[in-house]
Parts: sequence; C-alpha cells; structure tokens
Amino acid sequence: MTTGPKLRLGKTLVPGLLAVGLFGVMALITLNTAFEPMTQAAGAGFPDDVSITAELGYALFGFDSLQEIGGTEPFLAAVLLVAIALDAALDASLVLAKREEEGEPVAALSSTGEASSSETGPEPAVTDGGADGGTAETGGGNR
Amino acid sequence: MTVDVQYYVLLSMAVFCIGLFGVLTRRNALLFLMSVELMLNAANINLIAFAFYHGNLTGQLFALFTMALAAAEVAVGLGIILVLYRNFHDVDVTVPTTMRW
Repeated sequence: MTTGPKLRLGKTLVPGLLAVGLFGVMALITLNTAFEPMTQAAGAGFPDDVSITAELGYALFGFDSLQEIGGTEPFLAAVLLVAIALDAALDASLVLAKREEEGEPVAALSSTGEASSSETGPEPAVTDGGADGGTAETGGGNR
Repeated sequence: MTVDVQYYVLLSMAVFCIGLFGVLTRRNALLFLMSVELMLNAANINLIAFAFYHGNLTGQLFALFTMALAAAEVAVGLGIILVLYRNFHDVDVTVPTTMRW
C-alpha cells in the first residue's frame, strides 16, 4: 500500500477558496496602508560598517557593552529556554519513536537486544515500516 | 535602492495563504506539516522585513527563535506521523477519529 502524497483535485479544493479570499482581503489592506519608504533617511537599514552577524551574536548572549546598533534587547534567557525546548522535543520524538514488541517497549536508539534476537537474529531494517514488500516473518510479523 | 516593505508583507501573506490552503485542502499528514511550516516561515519574513524597516535587530533574533521552535515542532510532528503510520498503516489525517469530539 502506497501512502505517498497524491495530488487531489476536484471538490476537496473548495475550502481552499477561503485561503484565496483571505489573501485578497489582506493584500487590499496592505496596498492601502501608507508605509514609509525603506531608506536610511527614514530610519530603515543598518550601518554599513557594522557586522550584523556579530551584533546578533552579542544580542543572543547578552553582551550589551559590545553592541553598536542601539535598541536590541539581550536574549540570553530566551536562548536558554529554547535550548530546553529543543531538548524536550528531542526527548519527545524518541518517546514517540519507541515501539512495542510483544508487550516489551523497544527504544528507537537501542541496538538489537535479547528481546528481538531470541531466535531469528537481529531484524533487518525496514525503511517503509515493514508494511510493503517486507515478508511477514521479518517486517510486520511481531508488530 | 531597496524594495519597499509592503512587498515583503505581500510575499509573506502569499506564503501564509499557500500554507493555509494546504491545511484546508490536504489530507496527507506530511503535507499538513509542510503547510504549517509555510505559515510559520511567512511570519519570519515579516519579522525580518520589519527589523530592517525599523533599523533594529530584535526582529531578526525573533526569527531565529521561531526557526528553533519550528525545528522542535517538526521533531514532535514527525514522531506523531510515525506513530500514526504504525497504528493505521496510513498517514491520512481523516483516518484516526478516536480523539474527535
């Protein structure tokens, strides 16, 4: 069974008209809004002799005294929070990738333990989830 | 000479609406995830354009944090799709109905 992306045309595209209509309304609003021109005189842009990347790094780690472009807040606490969030996401993906074989949880990153190598040896890796083409003994047998 | 800011806003709206179109019309969970990413990145375009517009770096830093959160979201989303496939042998989002009200 193939579950690759298939382009579905026809009636299923009707709710998409909502998105097109929303774009029309928002574009109308944008084009009728008076924005200042993007010029240095109007306050846009950054000085030529300042490294933007270095300034971003200083702001990320809270080195206020090294900043040359004014008005940038320090983001050290946010960096730490995002680090924790990414760590939590990694853990969550590992938990979700865990599968059960005969009631025993098998971690995604473990090598083949005793549970799976009892009689048939290590299972071959199946990239399609074992549903398609894999034989019953190796792929979908003990899921 | 630089491009005026309303064209950046228009571009970001177009990208957002393409993402919304995908969310409203697609049933494949992977395409769903891609559409949500498009909507997130539309916000990034706005953040960076207005950071330049105001001559302030805070917007660019916010865009960086949005990208990090998008990465976390994709990690969890792909894990969920993996479980979806394992349980239903399909990644169609209309198949699992047990969590619907």
